[in-house]
Amino acid sequence: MRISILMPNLLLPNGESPVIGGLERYAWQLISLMRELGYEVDVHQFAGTDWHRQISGIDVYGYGMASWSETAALEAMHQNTGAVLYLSIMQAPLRYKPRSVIVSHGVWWDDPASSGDYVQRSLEVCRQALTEAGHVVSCDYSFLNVVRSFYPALADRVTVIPNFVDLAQFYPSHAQGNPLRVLYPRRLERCRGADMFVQMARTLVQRGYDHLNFEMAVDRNHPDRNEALVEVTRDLEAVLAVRTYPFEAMGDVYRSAQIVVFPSLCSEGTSLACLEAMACGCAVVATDVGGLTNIIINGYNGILVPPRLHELTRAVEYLVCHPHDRALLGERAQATARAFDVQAWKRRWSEVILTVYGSV
Amino acid sequence: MTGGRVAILTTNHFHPAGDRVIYGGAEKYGVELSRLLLSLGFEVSWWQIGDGWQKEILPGVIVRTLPAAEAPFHTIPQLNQAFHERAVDHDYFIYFVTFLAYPQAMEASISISHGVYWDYPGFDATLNTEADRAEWRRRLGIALSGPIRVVSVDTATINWVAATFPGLVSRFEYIPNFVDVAAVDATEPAGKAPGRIRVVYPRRLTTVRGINEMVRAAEVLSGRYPEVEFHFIGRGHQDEVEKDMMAWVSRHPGTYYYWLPPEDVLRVLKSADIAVIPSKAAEGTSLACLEAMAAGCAVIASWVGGLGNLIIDGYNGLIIKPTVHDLLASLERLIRDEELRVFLGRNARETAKAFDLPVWEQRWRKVIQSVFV
Repeated sequence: MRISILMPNLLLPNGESPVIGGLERYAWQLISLMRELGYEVDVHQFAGTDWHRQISGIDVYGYGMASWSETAALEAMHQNTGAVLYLSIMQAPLRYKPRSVIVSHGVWWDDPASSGDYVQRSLEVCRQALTEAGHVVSCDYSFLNVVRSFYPALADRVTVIPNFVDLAQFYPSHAQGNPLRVLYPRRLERCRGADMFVQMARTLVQRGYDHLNFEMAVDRNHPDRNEALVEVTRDLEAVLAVRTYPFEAMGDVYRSAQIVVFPSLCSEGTSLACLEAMACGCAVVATDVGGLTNIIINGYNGILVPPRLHELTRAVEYLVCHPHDRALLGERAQATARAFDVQAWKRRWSEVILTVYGSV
Repeated sequence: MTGGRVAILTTNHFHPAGDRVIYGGAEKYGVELSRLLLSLGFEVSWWQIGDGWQKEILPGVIVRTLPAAEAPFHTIPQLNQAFHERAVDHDYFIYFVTFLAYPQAMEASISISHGVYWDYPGFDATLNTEADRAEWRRRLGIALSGPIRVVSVDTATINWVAATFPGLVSRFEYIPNFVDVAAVDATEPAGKAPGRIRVVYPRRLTTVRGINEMVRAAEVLSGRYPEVEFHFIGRGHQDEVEKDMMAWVSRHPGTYYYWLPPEDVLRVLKSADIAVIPSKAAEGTSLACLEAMAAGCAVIASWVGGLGNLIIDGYNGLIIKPTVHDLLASLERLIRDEELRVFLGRNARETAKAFDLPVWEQRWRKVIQSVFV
């Protein structure tokens, strides 16, 4: 039996190279699980022109119609496929196929700058997804709770499967850093709070912490943003580095840091990067946004702060000054991360897939 | 810091007739908050709905009453108005429930969210039209905008606000509920015969707390596992419910129904192997859940409200969808797997220390000192 995965972008719209991000890693993890279960899998995505690629033995189809109408592209995908799985809740208007699964990666419309109209539209998009598809798999309890608060009767369609970490790639090291390294391991999207990280670093430097080293491990999707970041952090270049890494190197990147910061403003699920930093035994400071609050228990396995600069800075400063607590939080982060082992994620997902799509 | 008079507005610390303390998490919260304010040198008074009585809940802390008859759109503007007239000689103000700050809030004020309470299907039916729901939401938005700080016991509420009134979250402060770890440690466990496995449901007998699902699960499992005891500890809202429950346990060997004062509930929790918190809605960072964790129980909690702030599935408890099916599966798993039970219980005990009462006091102190100046 074949399951088609419908998603915005596994490859860039020109089909030439992979997009780098959590959604794409999620897709590959799911593809590999479905193949292990014996299903055939292909991927249908938005594109600039029509194309067909094969990557790691998977057929990927790009739909050029998306360049003027995502709805039309999705309708074309529906016509070309049988059983489907939507890798995210679609923003474009469409009728979901019945007996399908939609993945929710968390609340996305909680940006402080969102207008009331946008909030209403997003809630309506959720209502429709829950009503039309049989199942929604959510990566956090936060999305589920928001859904239940608006549509109590629809909440039963949601199954929560928290995100995963591969413990074979992400494990701790025992090296003590000198100088101490503070890491930002996220994409350069506004909602991820990169500017708050920079300002926090600047404040700590001004306060005279001269043994600190800051690193921003960012994505390569928008080279112009990276250049701009290097430009605005010119005053910190002696202590702050902006770098990009292939995913395979990220284990070592986390292991080289003692403190890892997730300063998200909004739009956050059970972040893969946060779980990976935890599995590497880093002390984590995260904002109390979305699903981050389902993996960090403040003061037990990390520090949770509101998304405000002052409190973020204070938390990082606390960890800088308290090596014992830093080590303890890191140890417990590593212990809790084991509960998010990718093997457990696969078991949970197998149940959903077999229930919805039937045996091969 | 010393001085200043704090007035706290609530709905029901006591039953409106003044005759019976409603034991529950929120009431315990109120007492600890009063103690903290006293220790910081404030005078404290409470105001609630009632017909003219007064009661002292701690030395010098008086509960006074205000008249209020109607609660349109889940707000009580009459109570709010009466409070603003009568408590005008106070310096600082706390709205013990968020919606009480509608339509006006005193200047130096804080409000408290004890969790999302509008996430059960019955709530929707209380607001019949889309226009009614919009009006309720409008009023809640106004209530949340007034006080300088809104303290929320869980992040589910903050996430809901962020997804409903983006931008309003900047005044929110997440302070999860507390457990008095020292008191739990000092509690002697109740007796238990060797070889028995004790399961406790330490909640009120109400639909939103998942009582129906729990009763059904106990019905199935008590026949299957004679070594397991099921203890239901908590009051119903009506005598009828309590009578029905007693009749039910009399027909099912291995099941027990009773209620106890809070300190004795702790004794039973300390003797228990498994505690079940299967809430279907209206849940914050449940005190009962925290107590069960501090007592070292393996906790089965639903994924509702703030419970996902306390439990990490498979690390310090199990998180389930609050259905009979999931309750049965998780209970059976823990009944059969002693090693897992012990692992979860041990981690729950460790995690509970992050919610110790002194930590809660320290977090609250920060908020009080930033607002009451």
